[in-house]
Amino acid sequence: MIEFSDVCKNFGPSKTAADHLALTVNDGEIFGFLGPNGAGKTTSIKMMTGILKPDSGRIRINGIDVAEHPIEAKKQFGYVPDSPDQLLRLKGIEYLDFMADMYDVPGELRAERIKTLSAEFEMNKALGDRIQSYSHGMRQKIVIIGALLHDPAVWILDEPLTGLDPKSAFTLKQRMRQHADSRKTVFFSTHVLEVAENLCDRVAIIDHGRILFSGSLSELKEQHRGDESLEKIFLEMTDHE
Amino acid sequence: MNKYGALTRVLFKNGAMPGQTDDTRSKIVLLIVAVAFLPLLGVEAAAFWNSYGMITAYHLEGAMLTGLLTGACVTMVLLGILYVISTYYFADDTVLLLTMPIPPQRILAAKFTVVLLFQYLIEVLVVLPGLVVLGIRGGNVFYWVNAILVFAALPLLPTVVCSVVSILIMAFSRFFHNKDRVKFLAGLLAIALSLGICIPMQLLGDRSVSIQDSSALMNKAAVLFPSNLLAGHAILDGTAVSLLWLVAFLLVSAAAVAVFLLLGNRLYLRGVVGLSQTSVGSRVTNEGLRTKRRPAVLSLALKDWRLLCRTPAYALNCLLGALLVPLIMVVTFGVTLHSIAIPHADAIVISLCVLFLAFVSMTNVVSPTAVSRDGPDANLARLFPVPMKVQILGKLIPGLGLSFATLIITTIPVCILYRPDALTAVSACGLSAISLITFNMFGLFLDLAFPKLLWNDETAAVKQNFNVTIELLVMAILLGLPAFLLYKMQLNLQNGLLFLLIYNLVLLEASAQLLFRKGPELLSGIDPSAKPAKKAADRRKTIRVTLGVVFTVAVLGMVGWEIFFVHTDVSVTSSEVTVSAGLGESSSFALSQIQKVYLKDTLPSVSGRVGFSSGAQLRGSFVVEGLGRGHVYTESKKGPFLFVIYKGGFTVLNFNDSAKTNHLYAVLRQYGQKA
Repeated sequence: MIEFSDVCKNFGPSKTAADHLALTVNDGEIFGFLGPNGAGKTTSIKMMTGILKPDSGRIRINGIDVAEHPIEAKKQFGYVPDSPDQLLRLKGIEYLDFMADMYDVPGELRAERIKTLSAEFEMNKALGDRIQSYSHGMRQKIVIIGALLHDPAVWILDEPLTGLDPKSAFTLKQRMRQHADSRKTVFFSTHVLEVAENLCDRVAIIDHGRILFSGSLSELKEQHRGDESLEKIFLEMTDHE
Repeated sequence: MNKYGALTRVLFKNGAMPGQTDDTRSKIVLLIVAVAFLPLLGVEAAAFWNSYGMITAYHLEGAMLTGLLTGACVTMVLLGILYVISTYYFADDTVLLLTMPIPPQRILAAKFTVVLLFQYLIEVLVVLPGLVVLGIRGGNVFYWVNAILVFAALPLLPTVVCSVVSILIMAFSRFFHNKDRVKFLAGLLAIALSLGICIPMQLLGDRSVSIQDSSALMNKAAVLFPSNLLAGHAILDGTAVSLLWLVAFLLVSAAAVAVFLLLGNRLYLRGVVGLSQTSVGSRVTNEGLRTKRRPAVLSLALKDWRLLCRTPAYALNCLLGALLVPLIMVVTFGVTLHSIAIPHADAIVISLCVLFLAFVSMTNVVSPTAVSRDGPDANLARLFPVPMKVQILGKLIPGLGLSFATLIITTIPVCILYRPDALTAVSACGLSAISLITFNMFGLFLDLAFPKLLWNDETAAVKQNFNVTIELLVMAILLGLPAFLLYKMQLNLQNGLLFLLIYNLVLLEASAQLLFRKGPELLSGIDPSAKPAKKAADRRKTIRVTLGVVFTVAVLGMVGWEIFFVHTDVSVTSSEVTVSAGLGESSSFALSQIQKVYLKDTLPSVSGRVGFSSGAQLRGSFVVEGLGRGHVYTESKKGPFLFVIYKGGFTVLNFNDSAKTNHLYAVLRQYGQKA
């Protein structure tokens, strides 16, 4: 579960990234975080993961306050950033070993998970190469594998499907569904509204740091003309702001 | 031509050197660098000025000038190779330019121009002072006109040499089609060539070279760039004939550029297409998967170590430096100072050995760049469920390990060369080891406080990082201070060693407190994406606070020094006595004015202080009971006190060492009545 309680974040007087954000993501659901460019999606995710500190308010993950108990909170989630360009001079296997060490993944379990996940995402033949030599999609995949190695209860994914080939995207979506169905949480941001429509149990639409809507897609459509597509509703909501 | 001009402007602005971008900070850095080099230029000019008489007496102007021009060309080739390869083949803009309808010749011409501008910096340092001095002392109109044109055209040929070599290599050898490999090898080449020049020159020592030999040497040096003989004649001829030499030199340079552009037009694309950033590694089998968990601190240290080794800029500047610097130092000192014997069992010598060993071992600059080298990845520290102290420790380990390795590499040849006694060797090594831990921690703390995270090229993280300079400066001061204090305190060996041990342990504790108390907070607050304005404001505030602290410490240090270490000094000449007591307090009186000189066991009560007073120390003008206002300079509460009454006033003196007081009395009493 993820809870935002009255979270605010400003970058200067005219740039509000989070304006009294209040949001709850329950266990067992895939939650989509939608918004135009610069709306505050990545900032909200960075505050959730401890990269940024909110100016005020609280964020809890599985009941643990991220600010007060950061170590415990960070063990609860696996995070896939919007840019997969990190630690490029490590080999794929070295990166995964490193991530497993950071998250205290036991020995036999890590080998098993690396084997399984790298096979699923078709990265097993590339683990001996440096991440620098990977394409964007391959970098995305290695980061996803690294985030899932410690089998976190909460997945926080910032535009995870960008750059993935269709098979890998399908694999990831399947895994997201399985994860949510096992009473765990998936929180992800995306620009691809069709994915949000097909995958998400609930969505939130954010613009200029404010939540414009939070709820299920059917609720969203009921609030607007019921036959409109999510894309049209989204554009209407964010245009009027 | 328009495309060439526009392309050159864009490539220049896109560069990574200071002053190439539009921002004010970059221009300020360039200005500071320029100002910093002025003293060097001044020293060079002064050297030429002072030796001008000898140069003209032996008709060495031509040899000198040709040597300067050739030296500049050689330096440009040595330092330009890496820059040329990086600019022509591995710059970020290369891929974009290749997709545009621009002939390769034009791309090359623009990149050539950008490299040329860099070469002028070298030329200014090497050639300009000598050229200007020769012109002022003996030049005419022809000299100056030709000198300016030669100066403008000189970098063309060496840049062509670098360019042609790189084009041929890249076109015909796939071995170099790897950015990391090229960068590393080119850097190695530059270092090897530099050592290849420095070490033989060092080994030449003070062997005198006859005038005849030096002329031959200069002429031989000109063989590397024969066109410099034409340039030398053009500048020094001083008649209209010099223009012919000049035209010949310019034609040669122009021809070289033309050849380069023709060659480049045919071969540049062949070399630039299909470049890769890195090589393909081996397959990982299921059996190769690790099943043992590694502690987080070791995993972090291993991650940093791998990145150090695999990033050419870091490997060249950090790792290679750790191995080469001891070698260079040992060769330099071993050849020139091998006959010096190290005094045995001397605390000051041990202190200086610690300074030398620690300084050499810290030149790997790993710790003061540990955070900067992360760049945009610095964010990761806040993601991991690993305590910040553990992450800091993980960052410390590579630098510590390398420093200790360098210490061992340095100590062994030093012990062989100088054969110190066992106590000196063991003490120096032990204290150096403590210093290494101290200054690795301090360096890491500096980089946590002032990280350089926004860079386009990894080299900037290590070479344009002032934390390195600050760390080495602080280390030099803090490790040099004990030697000075030992000299002043005149402690015996046992007490001296004890003092050194306590001193180093105090520094160790201070740096540990600094790193592990402030460090976690600093690491949690690092944000590579923070707005430049906020970062600049934070930086300014930090600089103000730091300067304030440094200033306060310096002032307190100076005052403390004056109080505790500057003693009253009395100088007696044939006509007067001068007393200097530090803190600006001094006075003098004529011997002929002395009326009375006497000793007393106690000092009457004093008041009306105009000067310094602390405990037994009095320095300045005081009202002494029974005598009125006069000068009082005392160091001890215990007598005797020397009273010198002279016309118009008096002076009371007393030293810690009573024998000194008595001796001064013996000297001065002949000039006055006895009490």
